[in-house]
Amino acid sequence: MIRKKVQEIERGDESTLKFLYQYSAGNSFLHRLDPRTKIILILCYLVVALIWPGYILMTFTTIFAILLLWFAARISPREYWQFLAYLTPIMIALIIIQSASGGPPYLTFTFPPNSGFSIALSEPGFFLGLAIGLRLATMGLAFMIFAMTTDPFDISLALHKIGVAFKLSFLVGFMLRFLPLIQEELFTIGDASKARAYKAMDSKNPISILRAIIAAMPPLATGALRRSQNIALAMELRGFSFPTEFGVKRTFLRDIKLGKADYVTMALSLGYAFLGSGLFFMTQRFDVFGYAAGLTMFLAFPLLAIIALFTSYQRAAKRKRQELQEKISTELE
Amino acid sequence: MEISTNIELREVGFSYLRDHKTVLRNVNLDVKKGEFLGIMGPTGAGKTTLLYIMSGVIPHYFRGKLSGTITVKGKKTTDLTLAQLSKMIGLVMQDPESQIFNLFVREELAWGLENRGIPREEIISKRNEVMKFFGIEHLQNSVTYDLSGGEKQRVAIASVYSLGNEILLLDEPTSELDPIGTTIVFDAIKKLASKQGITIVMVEHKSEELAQFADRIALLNEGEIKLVAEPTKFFSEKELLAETGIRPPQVTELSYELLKEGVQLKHIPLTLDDAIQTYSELLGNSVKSN
Amino acid sequence: MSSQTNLVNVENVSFLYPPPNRVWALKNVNLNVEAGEFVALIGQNGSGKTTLAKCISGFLKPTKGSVRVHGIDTRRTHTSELAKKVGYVFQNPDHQLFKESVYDEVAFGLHNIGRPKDQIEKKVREVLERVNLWEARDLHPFRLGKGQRQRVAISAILAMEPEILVIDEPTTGQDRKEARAIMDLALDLNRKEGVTVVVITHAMHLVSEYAKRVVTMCQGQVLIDGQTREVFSQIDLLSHTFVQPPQITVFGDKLGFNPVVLTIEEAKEKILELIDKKKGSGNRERR
Repeated sequence: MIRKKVQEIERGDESTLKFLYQYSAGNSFLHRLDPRTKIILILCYLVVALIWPGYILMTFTTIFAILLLWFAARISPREYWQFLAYLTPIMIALIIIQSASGGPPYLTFTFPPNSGFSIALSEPGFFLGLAIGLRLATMGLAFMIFAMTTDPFDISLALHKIGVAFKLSFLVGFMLRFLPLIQEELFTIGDASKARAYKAMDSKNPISILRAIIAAMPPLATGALRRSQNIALAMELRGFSFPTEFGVKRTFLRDIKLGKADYVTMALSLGYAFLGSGLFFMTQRFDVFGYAAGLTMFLAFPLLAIIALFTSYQRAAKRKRQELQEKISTELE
Repeated sequence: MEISTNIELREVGFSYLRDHKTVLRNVNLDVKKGEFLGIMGPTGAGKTTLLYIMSGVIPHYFRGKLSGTITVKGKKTTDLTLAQLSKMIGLVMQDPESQIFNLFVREELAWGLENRGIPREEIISKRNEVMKFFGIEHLQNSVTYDLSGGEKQRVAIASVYSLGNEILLLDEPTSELDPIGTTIVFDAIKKLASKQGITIVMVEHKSEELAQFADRIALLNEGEIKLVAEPTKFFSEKELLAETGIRPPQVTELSYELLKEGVQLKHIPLTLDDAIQTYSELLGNSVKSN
Repeated sequence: MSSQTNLVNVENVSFLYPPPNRVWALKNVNLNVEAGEFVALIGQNGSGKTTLAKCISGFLKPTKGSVRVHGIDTRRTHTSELAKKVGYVFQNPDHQLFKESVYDEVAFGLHNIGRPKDQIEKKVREVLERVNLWEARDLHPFRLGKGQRQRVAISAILAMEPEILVIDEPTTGQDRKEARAIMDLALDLNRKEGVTVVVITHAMHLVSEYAKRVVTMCQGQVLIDGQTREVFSQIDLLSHTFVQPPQITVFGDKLGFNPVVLTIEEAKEKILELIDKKKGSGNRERR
């Protein structure tokens, strides 16, 4: 009985936003990291991903991102497959464009066979398109890592601690918190248009869907405007201006602190970025390193990072479990 | 000096800048300290505007032509800022969606207190007290946008109440609640008035509950206060109520119908329990025991 | 019009909200609605009434089981197709107003179905006059009051002449007069045009007066389904889903009225009858 309760508390609140801003409240390693740490982690990761060209390396960064989410944040791809699904047609489009406009050598396909109708695909173009597409996936996933594991109001607090005014930093969190609602309202409005036999929302044609979304804009915008005015009023009525108007020092129940895990992660990230860019510049100057260096970089470091994160997570989780068990057994007495 | 009236409105009139339509005219109303005042009236009568004026939202947030004086605890609303007024008056607006903006319910409840710089332990204990009072402890870790309409209303009321204001204004706070949920909220709010001396002004359509819990009810129609009286007298003004589309509690209406048929009633019941007692005496029945 | 047809057939329907909520909002629901019925769908917030209504209208496809409207399986049909048969009026009118004039709003659905222009003009006028909004036809819907916007939304659906009308909480935030006007309209449609009506509401006194049949939901399942009088007599059972019959019904029940009374009229007649009985020949004036 205790074990189940511990599991429940550990799992936390697993509500997820659907696809605009995907904060999934949870209790994993990445969730517990300070938002400032995560910003550094993502930036370093992006720096390396953007510097290194080539589709093989991009594949690795993409896989790394997925693994990071899976192990360090316990978010399986099943929860964000829609995002990847929407990305796929864009990637295919990129590949097609690059293949059609690239240079030699060409791969020729006759389609249907023996008909005289053939398509010439540029080989380097194809791989370039693939690389760009995967880089897009990587950047998207980087955003997801941050978005899915960071409470919007922790971001606000982080900004405030850096020195941004309270009202402004709170507004950032507040806007992020409202994105899923706007998206949900968009769906409701879409449903309402279906109720008027409007076919566009039901179709699979992306252009129709786009048209349907545009048709949904007026009610969405009006609703959002009206609501935002009321919310601003509600905030004023509950003392939003107290700190500025009365000079009151605002209490924060929420707390973000940089801990050991944060410093370790930051160090690892910065090291990764430093070595990654360093190695890249060296491959540019001294052909010696070349491909091997790149592969080592992208295999070794992520693996090390994952192992490090995973083990520290295990240790922390074990400690937390023990704490909870103690707490519950004393409560039950 | 004891102030026995918390809010005073004298010759208050108001029209919005946008359409110059007079929304309120010649309003004179006193809200007594610790009373539960209900406000009823058809749509468009100006009830929400009245609450906005009492809380200072008009003129500080919405502009328009405001005449007359509005005094809260002895001070004119035009002399204070909205922030200063919000220390005395809490306002729960009609749409719960527009008043909940934190991610978790537990944060929503604490948000207002955080703004006031109240120490952490005090916030946590106050929050626990509020959750227990409104029966929403099971919601504390829920994400606010996953709540049902009725749950959101209760969270909205609780968040405003937690600020500890002496005056609480509520605009149709039970519109999305189911019948028993409505009774629970009314009951909780009544306790605030009777046990904690908080002054309550509530705009509502539900006669049955107001008849049972309110100390006085005001009728607002076309921007004017037509009647202010305690429930028995209020619901006896049949023509006036019929004109404005207000329905008395069903047992009260029943009683007036029976009076018309010549039945002698000792008094007109306002609530269910009252009616059961009155009619079982009349009919000499033994009440069905449940 | 055969009154014995099952217009709506809900068979063993269960509905699971997608991750992460993972809540079974409906569990093994079975329901049949015949053409021409006037049904009220009640139950506490979260009991599954809206989910059920959306399954019937095709906005949600059942996870298990099937919903058939006039024989058509909702899982195999586009919602926009089903809209020709099932009209759904959402709770918040602001989510269903797309156009810049009341006229265009009501005409929108007719355009989508493909009606010719002159027919559209005729129908829009007919429907708007019925809800007393013909004079407002050139106004922007958002300039109207909430009650009026709700009427625009309803008339936009009515213009499409659905066989079934599903109305989600038409009375929230409306005053008594407006709420009654909407219910009167629904009743009129039901009686004169044979439109099957399903209303989701918390206003029990209106359920008493207008609905012939009441389906009560509790935690995703049907708790009680039957004629209004029969359902409202089970007061203890109803309290499980935080529902209480109208005050007059509870009043009558506590006084031992059997069968229970649904309206003030009925209660009055019953009391007069009991007074008569008690006083024998009666020594009071009866007009």
